[in-house]
Amino acid sequence: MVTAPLAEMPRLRSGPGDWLRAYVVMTRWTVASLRLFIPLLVVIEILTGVGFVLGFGLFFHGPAPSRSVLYISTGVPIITLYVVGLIFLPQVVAQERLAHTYDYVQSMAAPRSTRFAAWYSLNLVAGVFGMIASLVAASLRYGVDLRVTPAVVPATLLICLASSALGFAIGHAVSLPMLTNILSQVLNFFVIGFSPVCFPPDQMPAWLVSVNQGLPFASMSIVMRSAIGGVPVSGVAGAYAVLAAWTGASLLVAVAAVMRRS
Amino acid sequence: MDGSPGPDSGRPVGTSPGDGAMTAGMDDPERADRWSLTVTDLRKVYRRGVVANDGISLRVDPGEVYGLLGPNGAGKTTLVKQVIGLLKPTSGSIRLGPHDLVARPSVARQLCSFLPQAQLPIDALHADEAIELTGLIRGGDAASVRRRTGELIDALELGTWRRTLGTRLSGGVRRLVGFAMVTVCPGAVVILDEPTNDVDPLRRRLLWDEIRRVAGGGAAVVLVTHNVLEAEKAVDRLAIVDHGRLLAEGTPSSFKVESRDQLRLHVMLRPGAGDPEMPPFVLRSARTGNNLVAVIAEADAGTAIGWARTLVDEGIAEEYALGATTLEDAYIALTGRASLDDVNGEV
Repeated sequence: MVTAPLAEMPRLRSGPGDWLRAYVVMTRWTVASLRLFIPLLVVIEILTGVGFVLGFGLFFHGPAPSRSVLYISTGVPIITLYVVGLIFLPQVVAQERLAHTYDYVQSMAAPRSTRFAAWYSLNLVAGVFGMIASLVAASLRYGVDLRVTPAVVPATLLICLASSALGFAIGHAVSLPMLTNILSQVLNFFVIGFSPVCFPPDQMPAWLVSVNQGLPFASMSIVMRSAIGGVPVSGVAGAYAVLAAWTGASLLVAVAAVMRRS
Repeated sequence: MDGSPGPDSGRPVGTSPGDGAMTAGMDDPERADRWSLTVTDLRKVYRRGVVANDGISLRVDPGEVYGLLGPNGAGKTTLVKQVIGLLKPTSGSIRLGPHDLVARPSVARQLCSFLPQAQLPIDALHADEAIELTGLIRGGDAASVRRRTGELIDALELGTWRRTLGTRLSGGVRRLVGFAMVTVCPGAVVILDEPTNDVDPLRRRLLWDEIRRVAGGGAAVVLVTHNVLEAEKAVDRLAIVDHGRLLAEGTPSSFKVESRDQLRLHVMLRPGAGDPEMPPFVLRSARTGNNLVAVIAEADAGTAIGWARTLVDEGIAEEYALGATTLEDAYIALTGRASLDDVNGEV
C-alpha cells in the first residue's frame, strides 16, 4: 500500500545537531556523486604525489642537492593537498553550470555550508592519501630524513581548508564555466612553476618573491616545511597568519557567492 | 488571432483564489490557511531591464495541484525560482504560511521541493540511492525514507532500474527518478517544472497518480508546464502566464465557459503548406507547425467541415477533426499562440 507522503508539517531544521546530520548526508551525496571519478582522483593523487617527487629529481644530473630534496619532499605534499579543493572542486561546480544542474544543487534542503564541509572532508582524505604517497616516494627515492611533528596536523588541516575555500569561492563566484576552468588551471601552473613551494625563493626573481609573499602558496610551503622538514624554518607564525587570512577571505567570498540571488 | 478573457473565462486576476479546488488536503481550513503559498504583486526585472514577472499575485492551497501555464519565456520558471529562493524578487512578497520566503531563502529550500526543468545530477548515483539520499537531505528519517523510496519505485514502475546508475538511465526514466527524489520527502510546497518531459504515456499516468497522492498528503503542488492538455487533465486550478503577467486564473472548466457553444476544428496541414486564408466563420485560429486549430461556432459546423474537406481536396491539408473546445482554445485566445506541444499529444 502506498502511503500519503506528507503527514504533518515539516520541522524547520536548525542548530548544530541538524547541521551535523545534514553534513553527514551531504558527504555521502558528494562521495556518491563522484563515484565515477574516484578512481581518477586516486590516479591524480598518486601521479601528483609520486610522479612529481620522482619527476623533479630528473632536473638534476646526478644526486639532487639536499636543499632541493628538502623543498621537493615538503613541497609536493602541498600540491597533493590542494589539487582536489583548488583544481577539481571549481571544475565540478563549472560542470554543474554547464549541465544545468547548478540550480538544483543550490536548491537542496541542506545548509550550503554542509556542501563546503563535505568537499573539505573529501579534499582532506584524498590529499592526505596523496601526501603519504609522496612522502614515501621521497623517502625511498632520496633517502631524505623527514621529521614529522604534531604541527603537521594543523598545517595539513589549514592548507586543505585554504585551498578548498579558495576553490569553492572560485567555483561559485565565477559564473562562466570556461573561465573557472582556465582560472583553476592557471593557479595550478602558477603554484608549480612560479611559487616557492618545490624550490627555494632565492632561486626566483625578487619581484616574483614579492608577489608570492601576498599569496597563500609560499605560506603553505613554510608551514609544511616547518612541520615535517626537520630543519628550522623562519616566518612560521606569519605564514599561518597569511593562510588564515586567505582562508577567511575566501570563505567570505564563497559565502557571498553561494548566497547570491541575482 | 488573439483575444482577452471574458468575464467567465477563468477567474479575473486579482480576486481571491481558492474556490472550486477543494481536494483532500484542504478539508481542514486551519491547516489550509497555515500552508498556503501566497505570492503578492511579484515583480522581477533582470539587470538588463528585462521584465520577467510583472505584478503576479496568486495563492496555492495545500492539497491543490496548481498549474502555471504559458509559452516559453512567459516568466514561469523565473516565478518558481523566486519561490525556492534562487532568485530575489525586485519587489513583492512570497509567503508560505507564517514564513516570508523572500527574506528567508534557506527556509524556502527546506519547505519547498523543487524539480527543475533540467535533469538532476545523478550520473553516478543508483536510482534508489539518489531517491533515498535526497529524502535524508530533506530531513526525513531513514526508515520512512527507505519505505517511501520503495513505494515510489513500485508506484512509478521503476523496479527494473532500481540499482542502475543515472548515467545509464533513459531521459524519461531519469525524469521519473528525479520526480521521486523531489517527492520522497516532499515539502509543504512541491514545485514541478515540466515533470513529464521525456516520460512515456504509460508512466505519465503513473506520475499523475503520484502527483495527486502528494497533493492528497497536504502539499501544495505547483505544476509548471507549457503543455495545455496536460494542465487541463491534471490540475485543480491554473493560471495562464504570458509576458510576465498573470492573464487569467481559474479551474480548467471555468476557462471553457466562454466557448461552450463553440467547436474546435483541427486541420493537419500538408508539410510546407502556407497558411490558408481564414473564412469569416472562424472566430480565432492558431498554427503550430503543421497543426492548424480554428475555433468556430457550433452552428457553423457543417460549413467548417466543407471548408476543411476543400483544403484536403486541394492538397493543402492531409486530414481534419472536429471536436469540443479545450483549454487549448482558451489558451490561444489569451496568448494568441497555440501550445508548443503536439495537439494530439497524450497526458
